[in-house]
Amino acid sequence: MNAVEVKNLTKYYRGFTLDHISFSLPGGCIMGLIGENGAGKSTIIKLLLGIIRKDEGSISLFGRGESGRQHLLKDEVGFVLDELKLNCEFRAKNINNIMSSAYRHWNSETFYGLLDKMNIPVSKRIKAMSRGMKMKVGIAIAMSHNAKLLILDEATGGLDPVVRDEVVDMLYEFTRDEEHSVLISSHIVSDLEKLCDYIAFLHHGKLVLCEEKDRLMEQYGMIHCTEKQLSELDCSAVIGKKSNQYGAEAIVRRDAVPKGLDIGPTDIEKLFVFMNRGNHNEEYDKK
Amino acid sequence: MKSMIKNDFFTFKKFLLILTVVSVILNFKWVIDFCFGAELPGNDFISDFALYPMMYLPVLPTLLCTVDMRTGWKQFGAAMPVKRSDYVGSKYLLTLIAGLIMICMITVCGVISRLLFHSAIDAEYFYFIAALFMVLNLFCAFVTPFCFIGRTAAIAAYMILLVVIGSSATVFLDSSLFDKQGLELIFDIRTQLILFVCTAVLYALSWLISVRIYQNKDL
Amino acid sequence: MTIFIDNKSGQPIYHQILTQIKNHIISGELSEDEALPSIRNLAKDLHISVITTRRAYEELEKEGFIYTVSGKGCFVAPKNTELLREENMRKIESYIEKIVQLANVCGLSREDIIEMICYEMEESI
Repeated sequence: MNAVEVKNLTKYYRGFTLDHISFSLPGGCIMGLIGENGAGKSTIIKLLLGIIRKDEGSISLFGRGESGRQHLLKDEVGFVLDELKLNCEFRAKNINNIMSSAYRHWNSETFYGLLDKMNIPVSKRIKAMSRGMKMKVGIAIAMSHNAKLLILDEATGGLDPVVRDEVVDMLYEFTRDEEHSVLISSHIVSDLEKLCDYIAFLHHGKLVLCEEKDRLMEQYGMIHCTEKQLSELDCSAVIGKKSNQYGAEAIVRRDAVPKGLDIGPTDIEKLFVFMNRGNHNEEYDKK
Repeated sequence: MKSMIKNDFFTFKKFLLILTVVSVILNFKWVIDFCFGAELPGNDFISDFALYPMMYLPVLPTLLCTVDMRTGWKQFGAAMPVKRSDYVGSKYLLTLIAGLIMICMITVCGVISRLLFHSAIDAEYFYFIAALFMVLNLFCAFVTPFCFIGRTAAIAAYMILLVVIGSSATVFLDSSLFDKQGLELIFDIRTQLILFVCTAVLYALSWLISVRIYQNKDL
Repeated sequence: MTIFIDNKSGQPIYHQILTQIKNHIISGELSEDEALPSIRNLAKDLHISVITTRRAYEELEKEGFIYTVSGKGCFVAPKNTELLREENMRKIESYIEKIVQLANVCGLSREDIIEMICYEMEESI
């Protein structure tokens, strides 16, 4: 059963359109949503969470489509937004109080246990907390009500590497249970690199690709050569390139280049950057 | 709805505290006047200064919504397993409760004041208070839906309300309507009942409109 | 059982796991019918994708090195000498490919290579 299933999801804004996005997140998997700033990652997440309303398409959580009782499904969805959007006068006990009334399976012990594990003082008000602390509180909230799906929107931006690593560890722990799924959006690709099972690339509101991460690594590779050699390759094989007076490097599809060409491994970050450059160049040329 | 109420309660508490203190002080303004040589208020004393804080009551829903917008709770709450109508309902419920608390307090203060200088506490006083409470709820019913449209809309609605009340009060006070005979209408149980039903219906209608506005809003 | 994942090498991660587990089985470090870590736990401990470990285990099962008991997990298959021989032959073939490539680069002839191999085999006896 798919934890999230999205078909032709569309949202119109002035100057930006989320254009007929379709993807599925199988249960028990982690999907990374990658895109440049303004690509539409937060829009998708807000649509999934019901913060904004869709114009077209359908969203299905846990295999259950839209109905009047949609809000009850969110009982099993834990979320972390880019900021902890709570009254800054609150302390842990206020948060615990409110959440216990909202979520059916809220577990105070888990919540306080997580706060303790992350060294967050229980008596501190939110306004006195650093960004890293606030993020950790947000994660503690998301993981204290038996959620089956975790949705994180730019949750690791602005955090130092130590905290980011802690967050990634927590996500790994969360997904040990095969019924738990995670959808995480970020433009810090290195976070998602190791963690994700699936990667979805978003660019200007369009879903460029959505694939198993390992298949991406097998399909694409990096080559270093001269400009001339590059121009000899099939257009469709080259995803994106960078060149200077010392040579050129490009991300290519392994199956579309002649055998014998030395293709090195690539990573998601390079793939993402080059894909963007490639698209940008195309649009630039069209003008 | 409980979680929404618990969240709003923080701001609600502070608002009510300030309003209470101001009300009580203004209700006993006659003490200060008396010390400066004024006469004790007469039989028909209704401390009009006690009514001023009540005019601030329609601000409460706007205040709650503004705090939500600033903290981002609007978005957080929308992502929680809580209906949007519960978010709306919390504002209405708390405004009603705040009004009740205020009215009770003003009644008590008024009764104390009257006991201090005039022994008779007649039913007229309570009729007047009841009518006041219902009119106050009508004001809130008018302003609150605008809170869910936006802060500017809410403030504009509140300003319009003040202007309307201000000008109609002036008209009322000047005209011959505001005499004993006019006021006696309020002291009739039938009028009270009609007023109660109208207020209840309009309050409910206001709630429905607000839910409609907020249901499909992008936050 | 130690498994190292090298992100920088060109080898796909599932292949690295596959090879290392295979080596542990061949060397005897993993004994017959010993239980392997679950697909999920291995993925989470190594900080890699579940799909990767699943694929590695699937390949291992296809090649006959492990077997799955539904509901219980994956276990080391009994040693199959035929399989081991095949595996070692595969390794030798891949080494030979490398040797030939290098030989072409150096300009060594077929006779030179055969001489080198014969010398090495005599030395090891």
